[in-house]
Amino acid sequence: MEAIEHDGLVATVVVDRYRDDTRRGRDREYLRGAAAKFVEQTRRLGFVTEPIGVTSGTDDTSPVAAGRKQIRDLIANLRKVQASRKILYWTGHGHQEGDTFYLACEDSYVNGRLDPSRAVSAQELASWLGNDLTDTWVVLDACFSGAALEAVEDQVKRARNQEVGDDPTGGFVVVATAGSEERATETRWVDCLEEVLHTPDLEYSQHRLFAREQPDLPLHYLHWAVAARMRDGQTPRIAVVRPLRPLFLVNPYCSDRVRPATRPEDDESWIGEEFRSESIPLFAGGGDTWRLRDFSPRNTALGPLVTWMNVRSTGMYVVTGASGAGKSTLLHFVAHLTTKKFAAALERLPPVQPELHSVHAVLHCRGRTLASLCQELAAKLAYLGLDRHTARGTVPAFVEAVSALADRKGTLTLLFDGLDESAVGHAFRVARELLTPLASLPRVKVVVATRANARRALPGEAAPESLVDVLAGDRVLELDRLVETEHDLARHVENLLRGRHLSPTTSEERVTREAVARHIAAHSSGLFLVATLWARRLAELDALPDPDRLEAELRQGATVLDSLLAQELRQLDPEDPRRIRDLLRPLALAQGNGLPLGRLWVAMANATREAEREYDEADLELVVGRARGAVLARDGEFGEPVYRFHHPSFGGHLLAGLDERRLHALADRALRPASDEDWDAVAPYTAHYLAAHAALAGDQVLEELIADYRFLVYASPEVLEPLIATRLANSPQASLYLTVADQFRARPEVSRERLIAGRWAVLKATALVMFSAEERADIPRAPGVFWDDLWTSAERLPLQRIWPAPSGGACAVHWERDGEGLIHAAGRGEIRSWTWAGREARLRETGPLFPGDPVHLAGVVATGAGEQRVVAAHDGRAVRVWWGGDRRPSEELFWGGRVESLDLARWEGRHWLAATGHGQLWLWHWTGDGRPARRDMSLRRISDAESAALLPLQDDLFAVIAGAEGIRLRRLTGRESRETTPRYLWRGTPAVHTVTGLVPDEDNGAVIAALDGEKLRVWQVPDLYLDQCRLLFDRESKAQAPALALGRTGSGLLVAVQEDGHIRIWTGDGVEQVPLPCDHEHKALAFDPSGSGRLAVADETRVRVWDPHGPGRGGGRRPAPASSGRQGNPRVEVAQGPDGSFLVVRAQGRSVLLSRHTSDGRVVHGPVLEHPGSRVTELTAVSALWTDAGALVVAVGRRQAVAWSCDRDLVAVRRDELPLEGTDDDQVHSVALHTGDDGRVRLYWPRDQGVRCWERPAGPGGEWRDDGRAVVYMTGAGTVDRLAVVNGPGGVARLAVWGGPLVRLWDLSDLSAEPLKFDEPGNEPIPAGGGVAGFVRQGSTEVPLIAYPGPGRVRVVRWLGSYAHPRPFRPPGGMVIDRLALVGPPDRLVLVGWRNDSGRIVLRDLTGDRDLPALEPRGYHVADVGAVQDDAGLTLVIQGTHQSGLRCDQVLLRQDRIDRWWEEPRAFPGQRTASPEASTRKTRHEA
Amino acid sequence: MKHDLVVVVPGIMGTSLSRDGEDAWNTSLAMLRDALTSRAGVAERLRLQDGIGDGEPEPRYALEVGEPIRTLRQLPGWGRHGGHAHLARHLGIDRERLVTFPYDWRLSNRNSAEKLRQFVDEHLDRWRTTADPRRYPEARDAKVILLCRSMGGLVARYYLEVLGGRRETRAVVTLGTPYRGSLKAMRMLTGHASGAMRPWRSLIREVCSTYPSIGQLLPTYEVVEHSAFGRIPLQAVAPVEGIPAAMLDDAARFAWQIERAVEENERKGVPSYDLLVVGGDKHPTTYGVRHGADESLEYLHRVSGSPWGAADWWGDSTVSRHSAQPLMDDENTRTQWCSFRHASMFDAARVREQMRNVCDGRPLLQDLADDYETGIDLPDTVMAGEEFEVVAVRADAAMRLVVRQVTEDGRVLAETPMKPCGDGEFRVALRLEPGLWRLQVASGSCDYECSDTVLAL
Repeated sequence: MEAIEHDGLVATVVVDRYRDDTRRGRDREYLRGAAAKFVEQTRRLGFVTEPIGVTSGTDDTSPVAAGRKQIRDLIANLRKVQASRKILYWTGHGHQEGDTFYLACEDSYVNGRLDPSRAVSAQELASWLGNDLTDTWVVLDACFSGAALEAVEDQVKRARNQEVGDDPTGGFVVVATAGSEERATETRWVDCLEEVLHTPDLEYSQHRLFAREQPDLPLHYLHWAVAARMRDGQTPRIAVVRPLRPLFLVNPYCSDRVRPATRPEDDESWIGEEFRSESIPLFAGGGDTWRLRDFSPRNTALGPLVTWMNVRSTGMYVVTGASGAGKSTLLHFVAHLTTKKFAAALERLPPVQPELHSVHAVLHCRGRTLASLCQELAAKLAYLGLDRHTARGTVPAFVEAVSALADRKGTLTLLFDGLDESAVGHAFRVARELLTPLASLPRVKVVVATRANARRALPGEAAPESLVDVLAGDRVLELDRLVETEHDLARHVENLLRGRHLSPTTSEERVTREAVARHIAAHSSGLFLVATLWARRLAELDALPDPDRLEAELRQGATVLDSLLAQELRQLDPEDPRRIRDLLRPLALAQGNGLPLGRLWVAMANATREAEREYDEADLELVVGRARGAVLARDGEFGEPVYRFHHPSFGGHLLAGLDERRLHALADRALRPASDEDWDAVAPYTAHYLAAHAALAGDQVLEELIADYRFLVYASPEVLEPLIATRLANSPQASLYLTVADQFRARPEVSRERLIAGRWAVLKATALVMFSAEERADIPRAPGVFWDDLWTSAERLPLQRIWPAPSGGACAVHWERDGEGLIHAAGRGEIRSWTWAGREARLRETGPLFPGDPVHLAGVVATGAGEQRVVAAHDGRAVRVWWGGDRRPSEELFWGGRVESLDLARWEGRHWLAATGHGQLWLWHWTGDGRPARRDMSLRRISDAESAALLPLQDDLFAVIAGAEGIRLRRLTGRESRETTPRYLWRGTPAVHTVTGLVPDEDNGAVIAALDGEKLRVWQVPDLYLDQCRLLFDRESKAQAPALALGRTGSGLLVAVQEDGHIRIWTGDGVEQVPLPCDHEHKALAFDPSGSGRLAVADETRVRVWDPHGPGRGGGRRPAPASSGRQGNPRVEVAQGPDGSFLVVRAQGRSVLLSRHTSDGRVVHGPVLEHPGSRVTELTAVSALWTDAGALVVAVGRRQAVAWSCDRDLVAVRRDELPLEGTDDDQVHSVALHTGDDGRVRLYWPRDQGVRCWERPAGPGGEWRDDGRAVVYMTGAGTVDRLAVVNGPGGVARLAVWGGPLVRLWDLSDLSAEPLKFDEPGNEPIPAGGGVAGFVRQGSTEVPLIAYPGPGRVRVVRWLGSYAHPRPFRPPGGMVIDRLALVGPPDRLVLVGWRNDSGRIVLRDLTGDRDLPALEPRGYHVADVGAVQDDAGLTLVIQGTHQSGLRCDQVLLRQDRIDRWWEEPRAFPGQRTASPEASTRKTRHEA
Repeated sequence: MKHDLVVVVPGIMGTSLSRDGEDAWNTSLAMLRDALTSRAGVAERLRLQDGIGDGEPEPRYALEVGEPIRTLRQLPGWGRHGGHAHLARHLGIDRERLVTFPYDWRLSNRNSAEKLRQFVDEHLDRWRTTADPRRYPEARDAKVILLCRSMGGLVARYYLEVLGGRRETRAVVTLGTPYRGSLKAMRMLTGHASGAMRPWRSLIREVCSTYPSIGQLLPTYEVVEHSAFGRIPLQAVAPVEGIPAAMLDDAARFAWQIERAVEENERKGVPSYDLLVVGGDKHPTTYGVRHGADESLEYLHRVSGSPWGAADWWGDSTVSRHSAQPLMDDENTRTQWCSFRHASMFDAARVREQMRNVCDGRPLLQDLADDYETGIDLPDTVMAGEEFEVVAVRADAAMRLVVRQVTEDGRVLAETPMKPCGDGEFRVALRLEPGLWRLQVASGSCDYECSDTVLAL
């Protein structure tokens, strides 16, 4: 057999000149060109091999070249060639003679008439080709060629059937370029084909023919596109005898970039454990397995799926069906079909096969949370180069990473099985937040197998829609409803029975077997599980019963399954049938992947057992040993083997008729540790899934569980957070947990010990600002948290509820006034809605989005309730309106404008929709009881409108409209005809960009609030009918649209705006309340219209509802707003007082906040001092000390130092302004106060290369003086960068000065003496900003020391005599530190280090040169730390950044707890000393 | 990874140096006897010119750099250097993947590092272009894996961090590298070379004081016990007799240059390599000295009643545990402690297996040490016929320790039981005939075994 280089071959027959046609009337010379053009086009379609063909001779003297014989030989040649794709193109004359269609050959005409015996009939042509099983496309480009189709179709079909029977091998398609009664215009079809192939963006029937990502060009699409291009009078026709293989025609515009990503042949990391095996245990105890390759009968299910996979580059294919319908097996089979080994081992390949290695990940959702599924997918795709860390961020960021991977590597096909078996409460989230966004990526295909509903539902949870609805796949295959399923089932059963009864069968037995198989298939409700179990039963019989007996034995439907399952279990433990049910029941309740053998399982079994006796581990091992196989499958979780049901139906069977809530409650009790202290030792399963059991037992059980703070810390936030968010409304612990859950997420690089310590740190620090001291007393002492949280400057935060934002982040939020008071949040193409209690209502969608065309909804409003509810949202370009419970919008309003604001009101039975865009207000209104439809809508337009809000009163509907000239009130409609002239409420500039209004229930008044980018203004309009209003208050505010909300409580009005990382709230009298912190840029706000004072806030990741009036709480009132004037450079200084107290000086912006603290957390607040400099926006240096008279505080802004003298009660008694000579813009970053032995107070400050000094005599009333001379000079340094004064032993004081690469330490008692010197070895500038100085014990001596942070290092320099000994260390965990503090006496000197954008504070013992335990992040970034040591211990005053609202906390490291650091230096974990200790870190080798 | 080129960087004595075809550092007995009789001549032959710094030797001091040495060598006062014969086979990797970097180990490590850079560039380029594509399909993207013995680790570290070698390097293994110096170098320079006979000590001092490489091995850790300041570095008590201040400064600068370059590379985000540090921590190892304004230099011993902690005195017999790993490691660094002595680490089967794992990118063995705490102490050079002691520490009587005298070809000539002398220590006094002997301390009841060589003159 001849082999050719490429596998596609084109043969052409061109008969354009005929013998014996003297007048040459039939010659068509240009047909050669047509054939050449056709060949050229086929090259573009992937047929690159040199074509073969025959063409008529050019003169009558030469031998016949395209006679019947030559053509027959050509076709014989074509058949002989070993190719997988063939095309035969015939162009010439066609004749219809009676019922037969003939194609004329070169010598077919005799005397000018066709001699049929010299021509080729359609039947003949077909028979010549018919038994060649190569996929073949025949083009008959001739008049009347449509007449050939039927004959060819019949002939080829018959030939194929004879050759291969039902096997769909050997695709065959014929295209006739003209109808059976049509003449073909020469070359026209080929011309049109060429035109089509030259139109890359061609669309046919909403399908883009040459989508760049599609490798395949389906022939029928091409045919219809060509047909559409041909004019009237010639309609090409197509006959698909058998479908051609995928990729018969190659898409000429396919880009390599969008070809499937390459999966290495030998890599198995793409396939999940559940799918790895090619055989599936069949019958428990029997050891039989069912080979996956026997799946091939299910071609009807396989074909459409594989075709979809082959031709699509994006989208979602959903395989659904009842439990046991064979969804998993289908996915399993498809996954393996993409491996060479499996495909090669199949006896018969399915007609349509996926490309080899074309599935890139296949995984099971069983027990997975959204986060864990992301992590598993990341692990599966790691072989393609996806960074596993990407799965640890947000889900949208992970989806982005997958998108980038697909862009880089090619199209990805991802298979997800068992979505319905996701962790409780996660199935819908997985569908919405992961699978749908993945499927909408331009180069990602997703196949999902799921039952319609989640298997694990919380009590009382009735999902408003099914998983299949939520997935909204572009194809949905209902496996158990396929017409062919019964046939497939019958073949499956027959296979099983045939395999079981090995003895030679008679034809009679075969008939019986077929009849039994058909009967089982007909009564299995489309479920393969039923059929399999049934077959198992019969296989054990000596002879097959006849169908009548079968009928009598088993009833139909699900009951069949139930009785088969019961029987299966009974057989496994015949001596004690109850035992196997009791011991396997925990698996039916189990969450995650399954249960590990051992005590935990036995405890659950005993808690939920029906038998009287208790089971032990021996019982369990016996039962598991017997059930291993068809009933139980081995899996893994938390690094240990676990068992689960091979098929989830066993679980359903074991729970049937039982009170699942009660069982989960029993399991919950059995799993809890015996003592509160034992949480650290609970099994990973318990820590992870106990919350799910509790939730499934009911809200009360869950609430009781989360009252235990230890559980909160040890529980998995992935499981617990969504349960709390949707189930528990008003528990303080719930609110606390939701606030911290984000920070509880596991960081794999962190040890478990550190993770838990970190969680405690965050929990306690957050409780400090959310709970009262009494409430905090209930929080237990925690391992790893060696400090006490004593005080915070932050106002107490209200409680909050948190839900995940809709996909793409919540850009708009609305709290509806009518109906159930739903909170609607709009994201990318969807609106999610919750009740206040957290129950989620039906999702609304904009409809399918085009890839790369995100529709972020920027405004959402709603009115009405139930089926009368109208929800409207805009995305800046269009307004969409949803009616009742519809998922998709009823109406979409596009008018080419840019929508700025949106409002909706129902007034007197009509709905009014107000949208502003392009400076106009567009008002649509329609009757309220009808579905909104454009034809029923009336439209009004009002000019000069940037923003508008509707104000429905009893008798009239008003609008408040903000335009270029100001804000006006306008009556839109009313019961009576009245004057509608608008009245201006306010006129001025700049233009208002946001206006909103609030209408009380009873009177005719309203409150109006507006933002213009500079100010917030709030007016009271007592009566909209009267021309009067009152400005309630105005405040500076840079808030942007639409972050403005009006609300009310029992005590009055509330106004909220989002601004600078806070939500600022005012009461109606303009008093600012405690601002609410923001983690993200908040996009929208909405108060509860019912007057609860609750505020919904939407951001990129969350929808929060703050509850300022939760039980026993009230909104705190703040004396001065933190967000005004305190923006710059937060710093804290601590000065030791004489009476054991210490002074805390906090610099924020240009303000200095004084307070006096004791180490047990008692605080006396002092004044807030303001630097007088008009141009000062932040204080650059602060110093403080206690004198006999009280506190002395110096703060520097620009070149102006201000010294405040305060008495012992912190009352400021004197203020001195001390100018620091120099250029105003040259900031002073450090000053140092010091009291000398003579009682004189000196303020040292840097000036160029020297240090200058302001000096004040001892005693009250002394004046400050500066003699204008430097007290010391630093030669060799450009300027003095930093200075500090440090007191040492024996009254020694040193002045430490940093400048460029130098540090000098002068003795303050003799400034003329040679200073101690340190020159940076590389002569590189020292980052002096973080430098500190102190004294440390070295041997038997106390020596001066400085420390400063560098990149990845901290350098500590000690002076050993005059020798400066530098010794760097690397902070633990590779942390980069940029600020330092020193605390403690020289023999216990502790270095404190931190970095601005990390919350971690590291400690190091400088006497022993070793790391001490670190303070894990407390949930906020640390700007500065002040430290002081006394008998009680080591106090740290931790100043947060603006991110935490400038929060400042005082924590105490109690002496009795830190003594052991020095007394038993090896007794605490995690220390690293400077000298080498055994390192156990892993390198990349082990990663 | 399997397609990377493996480069072995030997330590002191790892490369044969010759003049006029004659091995200059062949410490044969004849040569050593010559040295005693013609000390000046030997010194002149081996020394370098004064003030050589990082430069090249003048012609009269230059030696030809030969092959990596293939057989055992002993440098009195320092220890031995096992040969490099059949290294690829011992490591279980293909011969063409492995090259050994020969260098004049007397010169400054900076100088040697620069030559290492050229060597790596040249050989890596060759490997990338000539490796058999069927066996090494990814060789075009190959990097190097450095296997470094002792001081070779410092040469490599300078190349990696200061001379840009990071970019070309996938992984590094250092065996017994004195990252923070070794007191043995100080002993050699101050005429206190341990084990070496007195006449040899002064010769060693004379010759080695001209070697920048030895100066760069001076301890940079807090080696001095000071009456007022406790543990402090040598620099703080300089001058130290026998150690020029410039040499001390150079040692500190060399260490600082590497450390600063590491910092700079981290700051710039230059991709790092996996560093496997293998050190010894079982054997008594000299650690500290006493020195001060009013105190003469005194080498402290673990039993000399020093104030140092017991843990300070363990190492691989040459390099203290404190010095056996970089001052600051990072997440790509892993340190593993083994039971072997300084010179025998490279030959230990487990260490070789680990090196192979690194070379082939396979998971590392979790542990290199054996189950015993026991270490041994013995001199590297003794006078033939004179009694000397072999000591085993942290042992117990149940181990029934013996000392075996083993010939070069592996025959056991004699076996002497060790006797307990309190505190878990066991001793035996031995006498040796002239020659290079392998002494093996082994247990009669368990599989404990540890050996080293002794040169008897």
